[in-house]
Amino acid sequence: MLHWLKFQRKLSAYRDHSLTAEDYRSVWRHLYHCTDCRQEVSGMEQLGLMLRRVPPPEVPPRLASDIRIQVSEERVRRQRPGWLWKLGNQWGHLALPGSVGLCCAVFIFGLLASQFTVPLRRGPDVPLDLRTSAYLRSNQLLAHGLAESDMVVQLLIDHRGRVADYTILGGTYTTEDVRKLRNNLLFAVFEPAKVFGTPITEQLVLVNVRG
Amino acid sequence: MARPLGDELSQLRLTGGGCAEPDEQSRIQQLQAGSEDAFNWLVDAYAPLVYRLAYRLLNTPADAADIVQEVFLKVFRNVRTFEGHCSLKTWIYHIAVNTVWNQNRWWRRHRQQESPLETSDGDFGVEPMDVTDDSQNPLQDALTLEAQELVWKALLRLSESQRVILVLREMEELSYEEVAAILELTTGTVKSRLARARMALKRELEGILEPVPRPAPVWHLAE
Repeated sequence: MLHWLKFQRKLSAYRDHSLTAEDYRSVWRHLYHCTDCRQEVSGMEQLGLMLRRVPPPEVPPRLASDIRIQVSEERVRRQRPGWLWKLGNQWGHLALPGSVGLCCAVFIFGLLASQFTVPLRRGPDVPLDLRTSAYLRSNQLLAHGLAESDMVVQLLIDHRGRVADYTILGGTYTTEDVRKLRNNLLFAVFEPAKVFGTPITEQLVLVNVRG
Repeated sequence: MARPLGDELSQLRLTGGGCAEPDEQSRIQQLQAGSEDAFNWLVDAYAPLVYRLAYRLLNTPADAADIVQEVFLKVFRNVRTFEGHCSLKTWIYHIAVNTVWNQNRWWRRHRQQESPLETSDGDFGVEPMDVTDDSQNPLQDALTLEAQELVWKALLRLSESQRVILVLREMEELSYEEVAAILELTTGTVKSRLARARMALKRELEGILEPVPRPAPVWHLAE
């Protein structure tokens, strides 16, 4: 099969006169004796002749003008200015006032920026100190109704921030004041003391509880 | 087989197919300089050739015309990058063949579901016989016309690669080197493919000419 294909290729090239001199002579010698191969070459020639004789199609009369129109449109498209040029042309007159305005805005912001201070707030981050003491989150409730009293109270704040116990160390107060203090302590919330971020129980002394 | 032509043309270095001749070189320089006259010359010289090639590959006049326009647009866009390693004709034919292949690939992908309203089976690309023709032997003309139609029909049945190589070699009468340059193949591959295409065309013709088997006629005795 391979030899046959190779020979067909040689016959095809022989027909096109594109063989080397040596191959051409060998094929010619073979054809001199082999009628089948001669017919094969003759058939190829006839096929080629018939293909060449197929009349060429009629070219549409408007083809050349259509091409020229397309090309001229392309030429116009190519000569049309790009978006950068258009942008510069449309907004170029605003470039100087715009940049001056921008510079002024930056300058004024720079002047005013130093006036603003961000208030320090106790964030949710775990403090990295060795130890932090307990503190009252809000003293509004604790001082409610105790505007006239003057007392020093020692509190025991547990690890959840609640008052576990209290002791009045001194001051000027009435029985009613003590009752109000107990009521207020029930609802007071403290931030517990922490060691390496772990809440612990701690004693806290509140001096001069006064509204 | 088909490749997109976008960036390819800028890097295209066709070898073989002959370099551009000195006269052509000056035309190419004018084209690259953007001369409108040179492009008009190019259209006049090559548009019919490209149309003929596209028609023979597609067998549809409207599509062939579209392909020709697309080819010349590509030529216009990329002529500055043409380096003259091959002749202008080879370069334009290369673009045309690639454009046809891309078009065919697109059709295969997008038009599989469509069914055409009319087929082009009846049109074999052969001009209708001119009844006012004053040739000596009308019967011989008719037989020749019929033979051409059959060959054309057989050619259309071949695969795309076989048809293109036969069209370029037999109908456009290009050399092996030019065909190789257009299809970006070696000359040896062109020879092999051409031999196969010729065999395939012969087989197709034999298939067309083979008589259709019909039932034997039944004779009844008249009473």
